[in-house]
Amino acid sequence: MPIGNLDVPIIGKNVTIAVLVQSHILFAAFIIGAVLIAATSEYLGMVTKQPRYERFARNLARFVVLLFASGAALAITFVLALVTLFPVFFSYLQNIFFWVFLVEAFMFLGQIIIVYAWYNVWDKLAYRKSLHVVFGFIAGFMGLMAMTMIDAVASYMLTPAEAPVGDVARTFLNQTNVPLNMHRFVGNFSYAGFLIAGWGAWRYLRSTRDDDREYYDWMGHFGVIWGFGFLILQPVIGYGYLKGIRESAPDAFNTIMLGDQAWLFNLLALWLTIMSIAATAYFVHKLRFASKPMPMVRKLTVGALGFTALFTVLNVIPANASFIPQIGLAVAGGEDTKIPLGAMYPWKYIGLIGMMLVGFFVVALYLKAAAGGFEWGRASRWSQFALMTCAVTVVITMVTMGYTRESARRVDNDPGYLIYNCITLDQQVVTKNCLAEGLEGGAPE
Amino acid sequence: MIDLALLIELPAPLKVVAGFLIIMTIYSSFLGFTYWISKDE
Repeated sequence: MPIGNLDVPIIGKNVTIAVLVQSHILFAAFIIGAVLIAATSEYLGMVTKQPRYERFARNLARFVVLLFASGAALAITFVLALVTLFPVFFSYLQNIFFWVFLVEAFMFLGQIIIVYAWYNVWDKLAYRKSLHVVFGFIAGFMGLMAMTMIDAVASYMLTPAEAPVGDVARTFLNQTNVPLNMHRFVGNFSYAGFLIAGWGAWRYLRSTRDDDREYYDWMGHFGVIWGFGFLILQPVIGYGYLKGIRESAPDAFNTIMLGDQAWLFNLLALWLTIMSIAATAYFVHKLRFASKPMPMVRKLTVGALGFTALFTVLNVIPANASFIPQIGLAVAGGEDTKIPLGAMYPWKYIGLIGMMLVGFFVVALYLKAAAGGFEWGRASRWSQFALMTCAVTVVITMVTMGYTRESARRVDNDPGYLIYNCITLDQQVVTKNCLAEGLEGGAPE
Repeated sequence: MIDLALLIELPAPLKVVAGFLIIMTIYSSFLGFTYWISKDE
């Protein structure tokens, strides 16, 4: 029986898969990050005896348990759609990554079991808190392992290993698996942290009781430390990831960094700018309420805010006046008109390194102040809007990054690839420039 | 019928916009639903 070539009306099958995967990732990344943040918070509550850590951990764990079904349902729907719409491609993928998919399935299963157990035995293990905290960390670890497995597949699709397809170790450890995994590991914390901060801010603005205002003020602060603290690690890890892409798939690198899709990276830099400035402005505001007044630390942070704005804006400037070639958005001569300070080298490198160094400086100052405590419940409305801005922006950042990576395999769309240079978008195997050996005709001896 | 439906196809840039809007709809509605079922009161 021949395999049908099915399509989806209006949006097409490529966008259908993108919609399901991106929606799934928005939940999955949050769940992994939130479980680890909640487990850490529970541990901090155990050590410091401050009840807000315990309250936060338990509420977040409950939310994760309830949210798990949404993330899992989207994952299953995605696999079903992939089997239906890309049966030939999925068959190759399943053959190359049989062991990886098997391990991922069991990690996913383990994560479900442990997350549910972790939440359900909260009271039962109240007097064996260390053991209970370990439950949370194991659940987070299993989520990370499941992510690592799927990262092997996702990275292989862009940078297939120059090795026989039956070589499990080399296909797993393809050129960009490790940097992609590091990028997503850090990203989970940052993403979940900003969402928690945004949620805390929203609840703070709606709270009328003093104890609730204090708690949600603290939650915004706790979330943004995770969010911004891990965000500033991303430029160096992202650089490592892009370096891997440049070395293994140079045409894809040129497309997303210098070519027709460079606007996506400018857009990404814009989101980074918004989050960095909003988070630093929040820190500046919060330092007014340090229990022990720290005027010098606050002045330094105000200066750092200026440098953050300077460095991040440097990343946003496009290289030339052809802004979005796909829709013909160009001014003053388009590609031929170079914009000052828009070149990748040296300006964007200066911008990214500067942003990171200033970010470390700001976080160090803020943590120093946080060690002495803050007066909670006195934060202004605009500081909470800054946190909510971070939460909205981090979601858009995730979607922009996903689109950038997955569309990098298209290059000039002649043809676009599902596995770069090996399997085209219409599921044809091509061997001319394919680095993977034995894709056609089974694995070699 | 499905063949006729397949004739309706958005131009590529609009597909991206439509995809983004669908993602945001799924995301916000699932999150909102989860919040609603998690409320104590």
